[in-house]
Amino acid sequence: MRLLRYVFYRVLQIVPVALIVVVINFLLIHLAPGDVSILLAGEDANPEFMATIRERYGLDEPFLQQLWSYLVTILSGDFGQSYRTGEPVIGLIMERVPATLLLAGSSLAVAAILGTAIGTAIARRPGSFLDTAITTLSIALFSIPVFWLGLMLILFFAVRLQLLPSSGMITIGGPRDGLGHILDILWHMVLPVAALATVWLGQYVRLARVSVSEVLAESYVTTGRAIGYPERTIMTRFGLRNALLPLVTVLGLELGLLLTGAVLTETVFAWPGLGRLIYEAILARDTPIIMGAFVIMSFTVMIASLVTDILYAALDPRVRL
Amino acid sequence: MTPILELAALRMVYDTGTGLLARLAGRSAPAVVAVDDVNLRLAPGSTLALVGESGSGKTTTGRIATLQERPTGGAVFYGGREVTDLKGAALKTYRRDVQMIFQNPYEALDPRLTVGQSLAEPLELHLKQSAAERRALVLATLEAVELPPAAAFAASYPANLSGGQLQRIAIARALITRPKVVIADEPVSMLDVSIRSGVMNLMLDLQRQMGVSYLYITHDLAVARYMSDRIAVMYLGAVMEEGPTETLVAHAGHPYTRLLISAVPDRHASGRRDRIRLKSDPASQGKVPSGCRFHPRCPLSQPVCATTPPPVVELAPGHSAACHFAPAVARDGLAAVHA
Amino acid sequence: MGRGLRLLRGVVSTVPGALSLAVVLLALVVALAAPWLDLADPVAMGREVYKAPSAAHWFGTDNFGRDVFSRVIWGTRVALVVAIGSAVLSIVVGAIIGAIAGYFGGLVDAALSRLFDVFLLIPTFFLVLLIVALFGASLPMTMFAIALTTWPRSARIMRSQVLSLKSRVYVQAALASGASHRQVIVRHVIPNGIAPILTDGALLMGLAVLTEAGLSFLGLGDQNSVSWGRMIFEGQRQLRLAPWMSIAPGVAMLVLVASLNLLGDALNYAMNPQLRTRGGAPRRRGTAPPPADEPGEGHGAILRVDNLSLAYRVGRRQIVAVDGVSFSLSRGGSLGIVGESGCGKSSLGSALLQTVPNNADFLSGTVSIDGQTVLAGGRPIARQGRLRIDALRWTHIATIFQSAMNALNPVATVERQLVDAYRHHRRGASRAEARERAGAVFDLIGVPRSRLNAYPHELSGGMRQRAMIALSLMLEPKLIIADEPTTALDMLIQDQILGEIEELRRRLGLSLILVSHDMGAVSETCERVAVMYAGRIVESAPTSVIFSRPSHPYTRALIDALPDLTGARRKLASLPAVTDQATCLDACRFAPRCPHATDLCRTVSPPVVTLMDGHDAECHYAADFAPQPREELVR
Repeated sequence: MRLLRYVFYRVLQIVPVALIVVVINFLLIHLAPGDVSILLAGEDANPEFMATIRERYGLDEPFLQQLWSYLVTILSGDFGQSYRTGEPVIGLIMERVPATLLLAGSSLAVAAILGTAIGTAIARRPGSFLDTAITTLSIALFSIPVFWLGLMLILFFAVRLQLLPSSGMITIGGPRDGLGHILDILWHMVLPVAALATVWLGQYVRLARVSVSEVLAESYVTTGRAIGYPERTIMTRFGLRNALLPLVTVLGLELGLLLTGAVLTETVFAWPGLGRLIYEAILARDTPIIMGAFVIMSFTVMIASLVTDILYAALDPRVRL
Repeated sequence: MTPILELAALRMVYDTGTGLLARLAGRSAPAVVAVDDVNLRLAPGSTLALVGESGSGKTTTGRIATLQERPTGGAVFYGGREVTDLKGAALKTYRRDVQMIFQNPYEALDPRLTVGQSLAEPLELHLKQSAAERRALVLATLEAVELPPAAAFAASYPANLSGGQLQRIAIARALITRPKVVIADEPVSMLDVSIRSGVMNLMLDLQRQMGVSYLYITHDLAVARYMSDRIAVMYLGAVMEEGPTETLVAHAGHPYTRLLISAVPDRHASGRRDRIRLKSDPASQGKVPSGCRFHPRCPLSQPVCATTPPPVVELAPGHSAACHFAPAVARDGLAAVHA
Repeated sequence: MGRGLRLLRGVVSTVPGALSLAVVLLALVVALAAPWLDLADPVAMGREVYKAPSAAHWFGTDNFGRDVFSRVIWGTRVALVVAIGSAVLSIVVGAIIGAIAGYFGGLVDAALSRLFDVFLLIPTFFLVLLIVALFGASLPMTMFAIALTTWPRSARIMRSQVLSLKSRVYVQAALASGASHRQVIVRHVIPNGIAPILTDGALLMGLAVLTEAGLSFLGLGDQNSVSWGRMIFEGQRQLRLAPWMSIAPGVAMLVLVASLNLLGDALNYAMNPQLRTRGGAPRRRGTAPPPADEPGEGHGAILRVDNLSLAYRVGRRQIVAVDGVSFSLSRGGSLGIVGESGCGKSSLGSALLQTVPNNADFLSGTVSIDGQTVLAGGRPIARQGRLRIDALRWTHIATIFQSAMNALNPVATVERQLVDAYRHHRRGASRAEARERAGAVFDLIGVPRSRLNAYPHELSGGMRQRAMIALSLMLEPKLIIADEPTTALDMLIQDQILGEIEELRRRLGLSLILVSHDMGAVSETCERVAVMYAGRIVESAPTSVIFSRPSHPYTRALIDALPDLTGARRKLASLPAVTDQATCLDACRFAPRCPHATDLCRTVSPPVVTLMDGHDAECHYAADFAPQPREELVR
């Protein structure tokens, strides 16, 4: 019951954030150089379409009226049309979301699980040589530009060794259903997931190392040791259980960065996700898609942070107030 | 005699910051009454000790006396003049005359400044002096708080000093503008026992030399007895009992005061005392019980205590207690009602 | 200022810190000096296209025949301009707005904090991308867009700094002595709060370099500048033909960004050195087999400690916290260990349980609990690879820690913690049995069973401490070590809980060690008192004797420093503060503060003087002192 009420308030808190994101979008369009209607309709648009756009966004109305029309339009799920294809932006984006989520989600899972395990292990010996070495290495890992790492992986595994496919999500002419199809996708995922997960592994090793060693310095851990629990129990029931809380929070907060990495990785590997769509939109100066992607990404991160906050509340008895 | 400082019907209510959403949902947090109708008078050159546990409102009362916080109700008088809403230059003058010493000596000084720079700060704010005059005064004040060699201390950084030394410097800073009143909020509670007594003795010596008045805030009744001429005991925002120190300690008229006295172990003899078992732990702040606010914990509690707020009973001239059974308690102690 | 120098020393004291600082400085030098270096023109096209790395072109040439090495060097300039420009902008704006939000609080803070939160939630890279796409790609625009998305991060740091600084005594004191808000902010708040935000600056710079590269890689880079991201963008298309085109700039970026991140990390550790080494699992220590001549369980004293010494390693120094302490405790007896902060009393307590931190070493000592030796010659006793203390913990010796919020696991209910402890030691006990035992213990200490289901944070300070006491009693230990069990509590609750501990001890026939700074608390609870000073027990005696005939000047000072509620109001004795504790090894440690110290005290360690059976004092003049009446004060 208390959890439900917490969820309710937490959902309510999202509303202003979502509004601000849309307002930022609106302001940017109006501040940008050039005619707003051209920005929304494309330079090659015919006069009739231009007129429809002007009317839909109320571009001849006063400023606040325009803001209102814009909010209503966006919140009803209408992000406009692509210049190039004339298709609705929302459809184009939604079509690409699954591929991006597949890539981002798998990389996150690999990085978070492996990173937490390694970070917890080195937290047992803070200040040791191994700790310093692995911490330094993990900082180096998340300093790698992910798109460059992708290129290097392609260079080595696809070009030099010819082991793995360098681009796409499926083999052209390969199996289109059943186990074969799944295996084909998995096969194509190896390199992009490796690139993204490597960078994120660094982040997670470090986070886990910091939060586990912080927890191990708490006095309830000393109580646990005085009771005589073996170190394994101390690590799980006291250490990891309490350290998971900050880890989960960071996971939610940094999803935006993860998506950024995913978009850049997709570009390198021609992965048919959102990143590819954005990349193509930039090349074609297809502004509605870029704006739509920004709003959708923001909403995604907000919902993810909502989920992690609720997860946190479920994990930590202190949150439910 | 006109009191140098007077707090009249002081009241402080904190809105606990109910969020906008919660308010929309009709879920408002109750306001916390931190100080509830407190009346205190501090005579010139004397010490009034404000005794209470955490949540008693003693620190808030002290902060109001220095006008760091403005009360929700009531008034502050200084030398007979109302100063409650003082602003600008007049407020600055007031702060020169009414200084403060804080609990935590380890944070008392800006870690980036030398002791001398920290001590000079109030002088720069209030007095037009040459640098040489200022330095002379800084050194003289360091001597006065028994920190020789003064020049060496003036040049040192806080990180290299001990808690006792830091608190002496904090006292020096409070006294360097020659204030009339000093509010001291638990100035020795974070110091080691063997250091504490030195700081207390120093404060007493300086009072004798300078004629300054102290409002001495503490949780320790024994410390209060050592330092003060009068004691006021606070509980959950209100004054329970007030009187001349020795009278109050010897003939306390409020069960709460009696309990506080009984909780101080006799340090010069060993052996067991009979402890009175309290009925409950303290109520959380903001939830002031009905009737007498102490009744849920009071060993003498009667039905009337839960329903009717007790009157302030004058037990002797200048000694009063807010309890329905004050005269009996003053006479027979905690045996009063059962007997 | 000495602080900056100390920070620098902290950074270069570690290998990663020193290396990263060197790289960042080198990058700065290279970037500044690029025009004067003997480099090929980074933009001039040449005939020699797609040349592999050689002596003439260290990193090869690209598709336009431009020298890649020269372009990487010039790229450093672009990277650093973007990094420094956006970081400075972000920090300046963030520091000011964050300081305002934190200092003034209230509605301003609420509104601004909400704004910071929004920026935390939106994927900033896409915002930067959108801005650059809409407003045109150029270096200044990139810088501006990055700063626009990162300033809330600086502001958040500043805000939390200011929030904590605001309540610092020196800020309060400056305000109380009449300084204006502006004066306080400028003089105390910003200078003391700026360090973490500057440290974060290194991380911000790294982020900016990556962001700019990401933009360039997506084709939104400044067309007219030589940026690493742009080089990779161009190199991507020639990956098979001329991999060096993308390898070199990527490596350069990796090295610079990693150095910036490592530098930020090193700065953070230099400011908070304890962060690096705290926590961790207990270190394995060299163990010893059980000695042959021990009395065995149920025989002899409940606790015997002989010549126990413990030292901490702090940096390269060794600090002896417990120095040759010996005592024993009879079955059912109670001993108070009294001393001031840093005297080693808490170290002694954790040494008995062997729960000392990793930087602590046993120098010597034998400890036996209930007739079983657990430490001999400073080495833990183990048999067949199992520490003997493990078998005794909680079943024979339990502990009550300070009532700080943190002595109980915050994510488990009290009952769960009691039940777990019980079932860990009573193998085979059912959950129901363990629950019943937990309920019985709660009955014993007089707390309603309904509180068993509470989480620690749901309990008041007093109740939490009682839950800790309940936990310690779960397995009916014979000896309890209570380390400042009431220190953080209010007076009345302190008194109640001490009374409860004392009553339980008598009722259950427990032995008790009460570690405290409060002579008064000990006087009522314990039969014997041991006074500790600088790692040694300087006097020990039955409680009544300690108070009536204190024979060490330190004990006397402790007693005479406490004000009383009864009797005449006498002047309190005080001791001078310690300036430097470790003066001379062959001397009485207390001599520098002792009012009666002679040359003998300053040159020769005092012997242990036995004044009567069970009353020892470590002072040359222990037998000579007579208590002196203190001056009575008149009001």
